Amino acid sequence: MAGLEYVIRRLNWRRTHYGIVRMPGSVVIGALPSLEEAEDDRAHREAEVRARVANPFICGPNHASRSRLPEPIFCDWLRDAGIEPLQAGQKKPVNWVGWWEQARVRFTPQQPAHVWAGLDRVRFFEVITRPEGSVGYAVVRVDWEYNDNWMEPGTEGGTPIKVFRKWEKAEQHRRELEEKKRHDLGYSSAEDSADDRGARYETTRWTEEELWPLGSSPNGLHSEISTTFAYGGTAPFYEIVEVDLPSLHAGVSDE
Amino acid sequence: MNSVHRVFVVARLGWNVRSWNESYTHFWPVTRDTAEPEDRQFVPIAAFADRVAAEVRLRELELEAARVFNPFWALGHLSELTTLPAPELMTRLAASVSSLPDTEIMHTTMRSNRDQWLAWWDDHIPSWSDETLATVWELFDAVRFYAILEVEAE
Repeated sequence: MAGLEYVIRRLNWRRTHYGIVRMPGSVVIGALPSLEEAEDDRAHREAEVRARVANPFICGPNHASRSRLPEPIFCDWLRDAGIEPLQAGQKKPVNWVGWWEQARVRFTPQQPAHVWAGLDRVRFFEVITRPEGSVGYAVVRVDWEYNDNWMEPGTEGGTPIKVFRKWEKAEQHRRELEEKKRHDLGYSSAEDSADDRGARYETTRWTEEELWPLGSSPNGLHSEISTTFAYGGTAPFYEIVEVDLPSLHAGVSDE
Repeated sequence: MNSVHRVFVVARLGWNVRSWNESYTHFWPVTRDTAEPEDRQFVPIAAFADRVAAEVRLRELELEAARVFNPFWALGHLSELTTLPAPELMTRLAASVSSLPDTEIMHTTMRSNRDQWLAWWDDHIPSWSDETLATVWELFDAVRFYAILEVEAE
């Protein structure tokens, strides 16, 4: 019988004009054999992202999206730690973003963590368990589309082509498809691949990964300045995505 | 020996989240201008041997999505939220949950009563059971985050 493994998943926070918002879905970051290791890894990643996000109140459009505690209860939660919250006006919502910027300079070293703890919907990673090795690998076609200026891949996803039990088989299939696609497009040599006179393929969706969740745009607005490109045949046409195989009898062979 | 099968892949639908100015953010599904029957883009999540198991997982994931995504974040006409006509939506919502806003959802542009419905959703969803939320989410049938695809497997 298979043991369990502990999977760290990154939740699907996306950039908005006010900050970031959590969308449905997640991305698998990795799997570890023990819960303690996975929790340590999650905590380390969480702390790193919190340091970059800095102000937790930019996470979500309103209080309800940030905390399960109703706003008055959240204020009591703050007072429990000696933090005096802003009072809501009669009709105006509390400006929590501005409050944090002013209040944080007076916080004790422990108080920021207390605020984050009360904002229990603002979490960037989670740990789940699954049977060890119950994963497969889907080869997904990147759906490039011309936008009158350059080729765009869409902000996420593509078309799943085939699922494999083994990563090596998936990678072999991806490479074959990739080579055929490049050949069909006339990018058959290293020289062609490096040619910057060919079509431009927008790669922002991949290059922004390391800047997640804030991205490169300082105000969150879509800007062509932060757009990155690959030229000629260096753009990816297929990629591999890990998928759960909840049952080893899912119809995907072990060969 | 390699054998090729068909499996049922539960996939998350790609969504765009984009801001062009400092007033609002647009949310809309990623679509392609294609002659193929499927014009959406997908992030595969899980593969199943049979469709029934895939459908069970899809319903679980869709319910999780409903706990995360307020459908009134999406700007646009009512047709972006539901295929139901407004009166039918209101009747069926009233049969499922109490305390609806006074005015029916006309459309969800910035000048509409969108804010009222946004707040209504946020205020009430914590008290909805999974069954109630599933019933409500069923009515907002134009907002979907998951689909099932039949894909080759080896």
